[in-house]
Amino acid sequence: MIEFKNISKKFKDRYILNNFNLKVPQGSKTLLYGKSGIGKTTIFRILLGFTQPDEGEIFFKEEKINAKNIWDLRKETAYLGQELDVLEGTVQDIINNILSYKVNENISFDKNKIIKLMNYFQLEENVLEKDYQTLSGGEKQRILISIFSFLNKKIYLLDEITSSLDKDMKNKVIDYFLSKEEWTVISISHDHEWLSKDGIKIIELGGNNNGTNN
Amino acid sequence: MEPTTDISLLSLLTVYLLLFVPIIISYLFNLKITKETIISTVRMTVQLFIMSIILIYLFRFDNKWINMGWLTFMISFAAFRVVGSSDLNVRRFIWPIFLSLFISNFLAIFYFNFVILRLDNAFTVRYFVIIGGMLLGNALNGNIIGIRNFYKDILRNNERYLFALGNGATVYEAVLPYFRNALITALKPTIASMATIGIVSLPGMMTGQILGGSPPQTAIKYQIAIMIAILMSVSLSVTLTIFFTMRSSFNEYGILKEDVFKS
Repeated sequence: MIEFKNISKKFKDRYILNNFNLKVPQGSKTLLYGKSGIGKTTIFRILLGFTQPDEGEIFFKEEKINAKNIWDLRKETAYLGQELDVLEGTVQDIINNILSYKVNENISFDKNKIIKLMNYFQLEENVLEKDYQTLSGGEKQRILISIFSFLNKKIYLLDEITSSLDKDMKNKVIDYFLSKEEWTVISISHDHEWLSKDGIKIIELGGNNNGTNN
Repeated sequence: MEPTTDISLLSLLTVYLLLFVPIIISYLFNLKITKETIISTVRMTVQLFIMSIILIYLFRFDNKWINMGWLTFMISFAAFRVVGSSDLNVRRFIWPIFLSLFISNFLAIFYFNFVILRLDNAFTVRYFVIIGGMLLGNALNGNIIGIRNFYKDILRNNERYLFALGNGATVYEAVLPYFRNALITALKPTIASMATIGIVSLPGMMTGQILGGSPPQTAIKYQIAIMIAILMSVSLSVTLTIFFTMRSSFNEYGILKEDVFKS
């Protein structure tokens, strides 16, 4: 579904990604693992067209990604970055706002379903009325996970989404994503809970063999 | 009513004596604004003297085309002020800002003169240039705040913007929160001053009219009209500027171009 071919990206004359290759079949689960500052987040940024690689190409559904089809890719992605303060208002406002995007026009607000998901991730029902900015990091992560699970996207780009959760919740979230067969998941994480799961392809990044695909 | 008492040149000199107060205070507390104060005072004096000479001639000719030309000149000057004070890239922004200021100001002044005042000669300098200038001057700050905030906010909250794009939003959907904020911050000062006008402040236009001999009941009606026209003009020009500039400020991937701001 997605293929990175020989992607390199320099930042001030230093390679943060060097000859990175990765094939992501539909429905697969991939973990990008490794210490921070080695360009893991850059992989998402390049994929989503936020920045252009210095070398290499990315293919989406066999087609080279360009300024035109990047918009088709973004319609299918859920992008949960490290920065959590990306939303404003009550949780309900946030859901309404995201549902107002044209890409989500066929999805209608289903309170029961959302509450069920939120309960599953141990959020209280009244969280919908709460001001998102006042919530803790772990609550924000669980809210974003619930909302985007509800949206049922095709591709999930998850950047450290389990970082503020306790051990049990980390496992619960990871198992949840792994259980969704139709979702294509690429996750960036330092959490070793991801490592011990079956059915996940682990790509270790860092050092000189930066981005080698095994 | 008798005409306003003139200030003789000698009296005008005594006005400048008042400057000693801020200058002494600046010296005492080391505010380092003495030089700036003097430069600004000189600029103000020169600009207003020139303006008075221009106005004398504008009144003498009172020609429709000259008046429109003069207002257009003032609008282009204002456009440079907006771009300059917003730290935006002049080449990229000057035309869209000029165009949106032009449209919103001409619309406001036409409505004012044709619909509200129902003048026989709406282009006469007394109404066209004077009220036009008044509207423009008051709309200027709103425009500066609105346009600067829009682009600065996207840059400052870049992650929030990218979050929306990465989740399938179009550029328009992704900028909507910034657009709202820009308009709110641009309009708030005018809305707030409308609420206190007459209690804590007597606005300049009204004061001027009363000094000039107009009855207060006429002056307040003009003031009401001008405030509402300003609100209309600011909201329209900020909206238009953002729409006119958006197309060229984002690249094909929907990312804000780096040269939007002055380097």
